[in-house]
Amino acid sequence: MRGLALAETGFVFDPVSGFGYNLNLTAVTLLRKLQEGDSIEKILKFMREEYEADSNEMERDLEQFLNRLSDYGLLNWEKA
Amino acid sequence: MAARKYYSDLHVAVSGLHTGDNPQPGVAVIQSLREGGFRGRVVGLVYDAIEAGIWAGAADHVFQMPYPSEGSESFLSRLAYICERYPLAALIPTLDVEIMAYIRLAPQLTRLGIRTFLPTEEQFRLRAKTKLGELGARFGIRVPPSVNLSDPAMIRHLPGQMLFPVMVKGQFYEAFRANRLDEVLPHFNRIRSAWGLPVVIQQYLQGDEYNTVALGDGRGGCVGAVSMRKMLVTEKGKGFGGVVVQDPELDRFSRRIMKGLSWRGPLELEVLKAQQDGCYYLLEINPRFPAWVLLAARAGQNLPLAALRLAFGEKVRAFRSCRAGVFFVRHSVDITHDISLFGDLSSRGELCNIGGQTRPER
Repeated sequence: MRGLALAETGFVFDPVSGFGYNLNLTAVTLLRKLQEGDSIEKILKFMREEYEADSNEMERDLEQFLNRLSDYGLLNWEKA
Repeated sequence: MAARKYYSDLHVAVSGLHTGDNPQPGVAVIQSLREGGFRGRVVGLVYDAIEAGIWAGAADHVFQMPYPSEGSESFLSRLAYICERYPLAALIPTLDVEIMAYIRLAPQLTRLGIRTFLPTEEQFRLRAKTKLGELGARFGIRVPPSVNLSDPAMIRHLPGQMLFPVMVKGQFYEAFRANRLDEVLPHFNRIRSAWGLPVVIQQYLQGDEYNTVALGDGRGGCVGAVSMRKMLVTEKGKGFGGVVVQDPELDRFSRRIMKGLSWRGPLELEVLKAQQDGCYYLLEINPRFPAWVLLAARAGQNLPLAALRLAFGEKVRAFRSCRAGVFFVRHSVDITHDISLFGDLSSRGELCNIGGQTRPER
């Protein structure tokens, strides 16, 4: 994962491309966990404990988020 | 990097004080010097009394210069006159059209006691827009396909040489986009009458625009380099807002050019990260500091001050990094003064000890 600068407000700055993005609070939490090196499984476990939603739906949401980060070149990720 | 104390006794000349819709770099260069600790006096060299930086109080003294096209004699005698009033220790030219004149006048400038830190004539010629393809092939740098047109009759052959749209560029300034073949000729004529021949036709590529300011030591080394992504682009394609980036790939790209050219002095690279393949393409090399150079100083690399120190023959340690994420946005303000001050400058060709005189009226 690139050295993204993540602000409390949810603003993320990519120092390599110079682009900035706005994230909601959930995405900020997930991105922090990715930056800390947590595995996808660990993040999913955290989400199941923390959020009230269907487990499959959460998995799809996380996958979508990771895909988006990958599309923007912020993360090298491919579904196993 | 702090300027030495003795700078307080020196006069340094800087040109290019206009700050309109196509701002010249002089004001940003002066501001960088002062922020870096330069305590000497700045002599602004201007071509027009309306250059806004004069009235914003950028320089301590201002002298009107004859255009370089008027010949080196009048240029030199004006500089000699200025030196009688204020002995110039160094000169930082910031306009494309005058750089070559200063390169050629180097021996005479030395006799006047004026130091510069500029490329050689050969280095200067190598980076010309008309030679970009050659330079790309020589240094392994991607450049968009381009052709030099010395005759309007050559326009009809363009469709066999490149895809539309294309950029129609003057060898010094200006560029217009032509979406179709029939749009090329009007742009060609306009550029030919302003900047002469050849007119450069460059393949238009879609992507994100980046600019790099760098300072070469003249031996292939790079004293510093700061890149920014343009965040705000005017209709004329000028970056009026940008953010400092730190991309190792772009850094390598810039350093390869500096090394290949063995560039001495400041330059600006205009680069595009193409949407088609995600690669960097070199669009232009400008042989001077850009108008946004203050951003580099604020991001940790005061390149104008480093250039001044190199001009004085000091050893300058290369910058290792800069602070990504520093951004700038350019804004305009109205400055008011009494017309008599403008009259003083336009009739006498100089305005000295500006100090409070050009503090904007309230």
